[in-house]
Amino acid sequence: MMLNIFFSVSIRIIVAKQQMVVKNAMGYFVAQTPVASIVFLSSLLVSTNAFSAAGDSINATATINYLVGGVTATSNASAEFTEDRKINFVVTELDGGSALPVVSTMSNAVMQFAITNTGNDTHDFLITAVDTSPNPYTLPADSFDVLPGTIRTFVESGVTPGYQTTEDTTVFVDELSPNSQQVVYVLTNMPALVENDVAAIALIAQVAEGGVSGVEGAFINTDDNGRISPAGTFSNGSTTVPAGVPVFNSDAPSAMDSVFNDPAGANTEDVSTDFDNGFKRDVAGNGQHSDAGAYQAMSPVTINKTVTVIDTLGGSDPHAGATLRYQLDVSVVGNIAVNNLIISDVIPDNTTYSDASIRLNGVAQTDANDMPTDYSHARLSDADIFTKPVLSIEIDLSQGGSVAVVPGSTNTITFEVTIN
Amino acid sequence: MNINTQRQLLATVILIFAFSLQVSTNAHAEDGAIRFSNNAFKQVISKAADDSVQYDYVEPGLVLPKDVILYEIIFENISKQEISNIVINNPIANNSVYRGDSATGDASTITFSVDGKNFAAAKTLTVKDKTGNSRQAKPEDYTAIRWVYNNVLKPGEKGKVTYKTTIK
Repeated sequence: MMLNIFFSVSIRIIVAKQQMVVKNAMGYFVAQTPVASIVFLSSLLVSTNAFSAAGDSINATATINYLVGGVTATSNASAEFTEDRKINFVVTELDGGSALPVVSTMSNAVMQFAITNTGNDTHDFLITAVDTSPNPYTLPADSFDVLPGTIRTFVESGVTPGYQTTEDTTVFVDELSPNSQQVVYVLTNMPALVENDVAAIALIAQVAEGGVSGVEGAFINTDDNGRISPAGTFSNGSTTVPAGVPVFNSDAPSAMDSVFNDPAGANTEDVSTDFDNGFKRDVAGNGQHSDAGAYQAMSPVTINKTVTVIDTLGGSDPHAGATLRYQLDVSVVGNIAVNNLIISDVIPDNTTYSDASIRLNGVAQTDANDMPTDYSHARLSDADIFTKPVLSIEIDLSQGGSVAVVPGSTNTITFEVTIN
Repeated sequence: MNINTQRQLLATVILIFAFSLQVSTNAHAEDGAIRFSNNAFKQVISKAADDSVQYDYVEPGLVLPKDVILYEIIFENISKQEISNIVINNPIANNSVYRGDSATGDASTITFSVDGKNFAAAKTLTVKDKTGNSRQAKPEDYTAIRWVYNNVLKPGEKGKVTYKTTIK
């Protein structure tokens, strides 16, 4: 699925009194979703301690041996009770504690969450995502909602890391054992945005019964101690959970009781199905937990530029004839792979480009515009007339549109000039 | 069949008879000499207004992971004879971890085991780690506790041993 996105604000990064523009030939980004390789925190975190203890009968039997009237004797005594069910789990946003870069009108902006079962029984978890506010990362303030009706939630299948349209189709978390974690994805479509628009999104997980693999378990909206879940709609609209009705069951030693033990939400969230009106956040012990992330309209590309002076005597004095080696570290952040990512940089005034000095990730590049030999070239003028001096250099990290630059990657470009 | 063979047979029959007597005596003693009980309580910690901490031990109705369980094992001589050589063995229950230094016992020598067979003082027990090296056993490694009662239990006397576990 490929999609062209007009990027209303070009990226301009001014470093060392130079201006640099990231653009393609037509002046806009093309971003590709869904993402080929999201940072994968994953269900690989599943612990080996998959220990479902709820409902187990705990039996301690003591044996006494003794001597009475010259003969040995033995007797046993047992103490037995049932371990009750502690329902505890945590939802955590997984995009590194900062807003996720998105671009205007893009589809399928992926946000990642993890659900960790910290209780003592295996459960299914129903999931849903909702627009919320405020921005969990504080600023800029929450300013828009994603396109109505476009919020979807899916569960990582474990086959290929990162959201995969064809693989990650399950809408509920199935059979999550104690101390294990499951990655889930929220997908939304963006309206038209301007830079730094922010939309906060909360993922809500509702506990359900485990026990049958591949089948969405019955929701658990009440425990045995009078605690209840609020109403909600889960599984992309297919499961409606009514608010629970309080139940108080006596805590008999031989029966398994269920106790909602989930913590309060970490941030303030204006989540209609899961919040405490007084504090506007997910309340503790309601069989639901949530966490919020945020989309923010901004470039998914960051560039860090540094310069090293190499003078003719091997020192670092920037005198005439000294060489300046510029290094551009181009990183793609967030969950969006970027297509047609072209980096260009202007040769500074009073310097002369050193021929054949462009290197991409340490590999020498030609100055000629000769793709597919390589995808870098030295531009002699805006019209590419074959007369020196070289005015700028350009590197097409997307290799003529054939490669998406994946999030989490950093490409290092270096080139050299001499001081006139 | 000569005389010697007959004597051997007779001896064997007497031996079998004696053994079955002993077995029945055991059964009798088991029923009668000691009244033996084992009870589990959940530890409930509460803080009073003056910030003093109070420990209560209640019926294990609601038991969740990390709860602390107190086991109280009582043995009472309800026979008319003295009872000696009292040894109590107690495997740690399933889903449970022994809490270090929690075992107590009247006039008892307390030892622990990491394999359920060999018992030794807590400090001398070792276990092997994943690389095969020995290290001192931790309380969570213990699989059983043994109390050796050093006194004679006279008719009507009671003894008590206790220990605590944490629920997994």
